[in-house]
Amino acid sequence: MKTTYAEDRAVCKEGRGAADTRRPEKNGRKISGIKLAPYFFCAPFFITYCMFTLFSMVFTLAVSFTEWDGFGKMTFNGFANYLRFFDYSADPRFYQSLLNTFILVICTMPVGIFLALFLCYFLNKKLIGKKHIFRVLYYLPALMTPVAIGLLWSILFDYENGTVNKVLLALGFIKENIYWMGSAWGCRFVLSVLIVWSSFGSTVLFISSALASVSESVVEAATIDGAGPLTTYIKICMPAIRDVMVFIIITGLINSFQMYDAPVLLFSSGPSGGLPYGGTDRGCLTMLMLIMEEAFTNSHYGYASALSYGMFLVIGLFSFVSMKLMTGGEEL
Amino acid sequence: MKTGRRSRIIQKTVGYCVLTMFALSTLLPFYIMVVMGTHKNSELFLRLNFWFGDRFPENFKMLSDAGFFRYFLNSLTIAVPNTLLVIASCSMGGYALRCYRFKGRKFLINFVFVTLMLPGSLGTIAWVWEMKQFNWINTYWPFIIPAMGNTYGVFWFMQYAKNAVSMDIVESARVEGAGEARIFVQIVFPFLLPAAISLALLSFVGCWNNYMGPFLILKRKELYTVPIGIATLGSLFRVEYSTRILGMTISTIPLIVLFAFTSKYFMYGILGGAVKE
Repeated sequence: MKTTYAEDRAVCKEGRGAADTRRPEKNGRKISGIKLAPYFFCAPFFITYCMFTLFSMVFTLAVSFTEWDGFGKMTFNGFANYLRFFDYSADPRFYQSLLNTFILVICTMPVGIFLALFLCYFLNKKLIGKKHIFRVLYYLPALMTPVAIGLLWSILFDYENGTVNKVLLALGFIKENIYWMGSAWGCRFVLSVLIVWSSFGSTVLFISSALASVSESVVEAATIDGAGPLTTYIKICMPAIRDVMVFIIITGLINSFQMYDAPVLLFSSGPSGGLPYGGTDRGCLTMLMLIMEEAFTNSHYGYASALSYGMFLVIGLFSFVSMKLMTGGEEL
Repeated sequence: MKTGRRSRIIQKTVGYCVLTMFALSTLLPFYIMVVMGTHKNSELFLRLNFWFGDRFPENFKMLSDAGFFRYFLNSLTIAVPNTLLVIASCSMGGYALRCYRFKGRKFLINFVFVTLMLPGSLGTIAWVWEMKQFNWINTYWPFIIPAMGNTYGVFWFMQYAKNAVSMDIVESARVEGAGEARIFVQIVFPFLLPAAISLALLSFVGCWNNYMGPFLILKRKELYTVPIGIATLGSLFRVEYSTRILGMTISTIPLIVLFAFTSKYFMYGILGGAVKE
């Protein structure tokens, strides 16, 4: 049986071909099957989501208005937890972790995106074959366990025995070992290298797939009008991949707030001994690291819950702002 | 004409050089990791090692003595059912939301879109408490059952089903008298297979790499998964660094093998899913 491509991929848009259960029909048994089926299909997802994820989010919100050590009685204390972390003099760590996150974002995002754009300029050329293999290679770091990456980085950038120091010494760039993680900024640098390395592959994937969708004819028209390849790339391809850029920036932001595994391992287990949680001077303490410490080390569940919602508010706010900024107020 | 060809060759060479350079710098840390795992611990820090050592068997033995392969099995015990359940629940949910019209559909779709934006770690604190109430501390259920509520997965299938499921075929099967469940398993799911494979990769990798969840739930050594194993090998068993690094290398192998088999679908999924028409 032969069917045309169009028939084969009939789009099940509103009204077309879809099973309309609101439409009365005669065959009673079959109708009830069609009627009930979607609910059965949706049930496993929605029940588990509501039972676990949604419930825990709502319960965390409830806990955030209390003082609780996880076992004993919860005492309601209104907005006291929120007021405490919003007040810099009462607890500076919220703002510190916010600042740390932004420093990390500012150190990694432009570098990562610039490198990816530079690479994709070559990767998306028609002349280049074997694109698939390259994309796979760039994506490999994104697969590696963050714990392992953190540990590997702590070994590479170790003070006494680190590979990076040894290479730099051997090449004569430095006279003595650099204590990479001896300062807050050093820690941020090492962590930034880690982030750029591990997130580079997915950035490349997104940008190069977005670039592939830029219409050939537009690019050709620009070339005929006398635009060089670089001008074409900046003036025509960049605006076309704006949506994907927004996506990359927002997900990068959200991931930076919620970074936990890699920094914890990076600072806790170098061969020359561990550093404080969050690195020297806590320069790399991210929001989630602060929340986890408050909840599961200090047993301040109520305060940690409030911090979680503080993080949520900040993420929401900045996603919104960056979306507006990037799209110039237009709808995506 | 001749200059055109020459400039093409130059462009091609420059392009490949840049791509290869980037690929090498992405692979360099991997290479260092693999090499370090085959050296003696004392040699590891004495000089620079750029070639494989001969201590692989000893390191491997130390690793297995420390119970690392137990962790490996534990991780598989979690990741395989997790992945299968995610695929099952999300493909059903995504298909139902995209291809049926039913009461409450609009609400459920909006629900998916809104919850998609919630950061995953928002409810961690209460989640741990909830697992305590279920008596699920020190079991693997917390990583298997709640995984079915994967909003991202449902969204993924919803987007994919839009173009992939042929409603004509579904309709004709319905006319032939096939039940809805049978239609889904025999007709719809094969259409969704590419999306299922790429989501399976993401889900498996996410589960395999998960550190925070097992860290909060699993308190007994014999239940540890690979990431906690890597994190604690040094402190618990006085294992040497080179052995730990070998453990890291070995823990990456399943992911790379899986990726090698699924990368085509995965890349296609990204290509199709990330770009708006």
